Amino acid sequence: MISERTAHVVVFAKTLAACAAYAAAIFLADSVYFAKRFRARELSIGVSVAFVQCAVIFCMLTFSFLKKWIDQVRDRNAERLRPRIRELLAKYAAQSVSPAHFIELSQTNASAVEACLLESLRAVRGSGRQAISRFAGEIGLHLKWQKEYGSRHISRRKNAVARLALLSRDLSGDTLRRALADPDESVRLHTARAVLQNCHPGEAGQIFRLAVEGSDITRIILSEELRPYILELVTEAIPTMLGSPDSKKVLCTLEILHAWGKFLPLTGIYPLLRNHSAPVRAAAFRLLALLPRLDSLNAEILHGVSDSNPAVCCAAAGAAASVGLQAAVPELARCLHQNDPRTALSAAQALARLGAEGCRMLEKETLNGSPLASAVALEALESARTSRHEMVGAS
Amino acid sequence: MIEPASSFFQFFSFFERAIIAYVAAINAIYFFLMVLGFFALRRYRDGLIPEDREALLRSPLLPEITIVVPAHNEELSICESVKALLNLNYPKHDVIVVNDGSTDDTLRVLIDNFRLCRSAGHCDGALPSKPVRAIYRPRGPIRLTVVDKEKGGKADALNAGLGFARSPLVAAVDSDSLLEQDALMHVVEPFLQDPGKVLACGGIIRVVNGCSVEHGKVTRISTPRAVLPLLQTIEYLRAFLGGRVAFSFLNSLMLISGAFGIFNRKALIEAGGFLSTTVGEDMELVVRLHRRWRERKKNYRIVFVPEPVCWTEVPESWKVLHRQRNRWQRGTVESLAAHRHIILKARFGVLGLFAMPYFVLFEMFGPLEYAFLFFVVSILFGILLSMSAVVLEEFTMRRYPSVADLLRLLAAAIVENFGYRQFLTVWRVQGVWDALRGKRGWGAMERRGFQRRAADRTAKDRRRFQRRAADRTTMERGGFQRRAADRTAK
Repeated sequence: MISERTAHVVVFAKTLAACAAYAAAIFLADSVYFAKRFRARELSIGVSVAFVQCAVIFCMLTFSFLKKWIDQVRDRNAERLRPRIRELLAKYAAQSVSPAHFIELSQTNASAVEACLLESLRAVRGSGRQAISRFAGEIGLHLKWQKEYGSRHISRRKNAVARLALLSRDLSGDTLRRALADPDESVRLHTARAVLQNCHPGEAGQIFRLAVEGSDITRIILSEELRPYILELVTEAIPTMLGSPDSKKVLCTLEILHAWGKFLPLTGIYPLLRNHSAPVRAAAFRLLALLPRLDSLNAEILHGVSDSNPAVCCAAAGAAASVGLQAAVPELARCLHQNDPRTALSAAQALARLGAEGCRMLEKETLNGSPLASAVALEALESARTSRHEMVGAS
Repeated sequence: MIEPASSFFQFFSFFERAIIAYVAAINAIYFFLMVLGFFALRRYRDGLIPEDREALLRSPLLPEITIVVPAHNEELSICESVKALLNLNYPKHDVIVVNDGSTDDTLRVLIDNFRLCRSAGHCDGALPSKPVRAIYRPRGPIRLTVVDKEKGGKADALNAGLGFARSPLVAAVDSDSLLEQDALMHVVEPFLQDPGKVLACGGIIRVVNGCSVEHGKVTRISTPRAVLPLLQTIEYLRAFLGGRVAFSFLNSLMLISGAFGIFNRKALIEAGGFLSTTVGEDMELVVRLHRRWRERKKNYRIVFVPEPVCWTEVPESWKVLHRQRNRWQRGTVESLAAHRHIILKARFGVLGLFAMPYFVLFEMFGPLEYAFLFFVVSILFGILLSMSAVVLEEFTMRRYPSVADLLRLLAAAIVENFGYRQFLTVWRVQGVWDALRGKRGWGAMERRGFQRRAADRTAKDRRRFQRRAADRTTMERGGFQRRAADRTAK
């Protein structure tokens, strides 16, 4: 991945180059023209600065207007041809027309054909798509996009992989594999999403690994895109990651599983309840409600509630409430008196969810507890009442 | 005689060069910031695409955000604002409105509209604030909390709201600001890209005057019709797209607008929250965050997102604009003065060596320097020109024979530049304006006439003599009478 530092250096280098070019232009304008016209040095430099600034603004405006105009003209021309190209493509996909009709058209109106072809690739599935993909190969579009992927501009690389992912893997496979290991993370993310649109066996596991090893933003986006492949991932990719010695990878895997919120036939999570890393333990406790129940879990949860780490304690309290562990009430009541307000609040909320016994404990605390305990107990009782109201309202 | 004149011209030449250097420096820095901002913007554009954001919005892994809205006497707009905030396009957010001792019906309006009832709530007390009177929450599932507290100002209200926030990220929003639907999504991105490192994030504030607003949403974007808001629109564009992108890139962003900014709650509490003794609490907080984290030598970022996230109403009258800008400038001065120790200290990096000096020179003293320099330059030029005219008269015509007249003329050459010439300029501009409007006629002109003036002078002299004589007589009479009375008493 291009580090943030390198990206900074590149931007700085570009800025300095632009400033140097600007200074050079001023110097040139001054020495070639203005210094001869104005005797005062300050005046000639001032006029040169003003002249260069005006010229730059004028050139930029002209360029942008020209570009807009050319784009509009090109769009207008392409719009006229599109119905005919679409018709030919549909016929080609239905194998009722030979590719020769197209070859000539694609040579004279390459951009219009490319746009229509992409449109069709996104819309069509099955044999029709394969036929269009083959045609794209015949007119050499896959080579053009592969070349575009070699660009140093990130946006161009992204566009190229988005297009290549629409083609059959024999045309695009190698480039896509390279793109999944692109130095820039946003390109990798883009490729992964594009590949998942038309995923082949084994690719989901590779992208899951990318999600686990990527930044938070990559993980969040890919975890949503990987939802349809959960069952495939549960067999191999997820257990591999859960068994990793790198606790960061394990934590990221647990976060993705939590985001999916599905019941998972995984057993590799139980040992993590005693992991040396507190964030991993906390994440594992948060997942307990989504795992098959084991008898030994109650003892683990009680152990978690008495954990010295507040995050683990909060997660274990939540797990106790989720599995309805009444035996945890005394331990949770003890947590109410801890100095950490978050632990106290989590314990109070868990007690409120544990039914009559938990609520009785909270009521007792509101009357006799410390200021913190009574405040959090009152808040938890009220939120429990509100959620009961909501449930009644919903039913 | 030659030496003083020569030193005067030397001073004048130095002064002229100083002005040129100042103007050149400010323009060079603006240009550098503009170019840097351009390349940084291009780099930013290579980031997420709308489809990525849609995927993000579906995920339960997004961090929760608490929006804290301080409100003081906002009964007319608070309801719409809160509805708009509750309907933002973000899956996990709640709103805390802090009623900062309103004397109008702000609290009543909120209670009636959202069916609030008094509730229990635990304030973690991490930041001091004025006492909280009560907490209100709705009966239904709406994620709204209203904190009613004694008046303590905006910063105090924000601190109170932070005590009730449970999320890792906290957004501070003005109650008269309108957020874009995806505003939270845009500003949360840096926190996801650099988890744990990003302390605060802000975005572009746009001018809402002239736009159509329905149910707290901007439905039609248009430039303001009135001149003053239109000028401020340009000013906002320049400020946000030019400088802030570049400063953010240099990790020296000194200001996240108080209208909308999002903060890491833990960092905010560690830094001590908003300072209620300054009018520029937004800038002061950002500078304090920079300072604390650099002092601890921790890796951190304060980010500006070049996306339009918030719409705000700008003043439409000169009076209100004057008041607002005065407050902003005071805030800038207070913040810079409070953290003056950062200036030119290498251990604060770009912040100490570039951003702070830039703000002191061009933002804090900029207006003063500009005003002062232009005033002094124009006065000096004016005095020089008037004196030259007197000198020219003396060398050529010599119509005023006495030295007193010459001195009086030289004095007038100085005095006329303080007020008189400025009035003349205003009237001349008015004349141009009237001419453009096609105004005809001479206008009423009072002339007193030369003879009458002479007669006046004679009459005035006569009156003066008579008055003096009368005064003398009275004084003498008074003196005599007093002396006679004194004698009698003795």
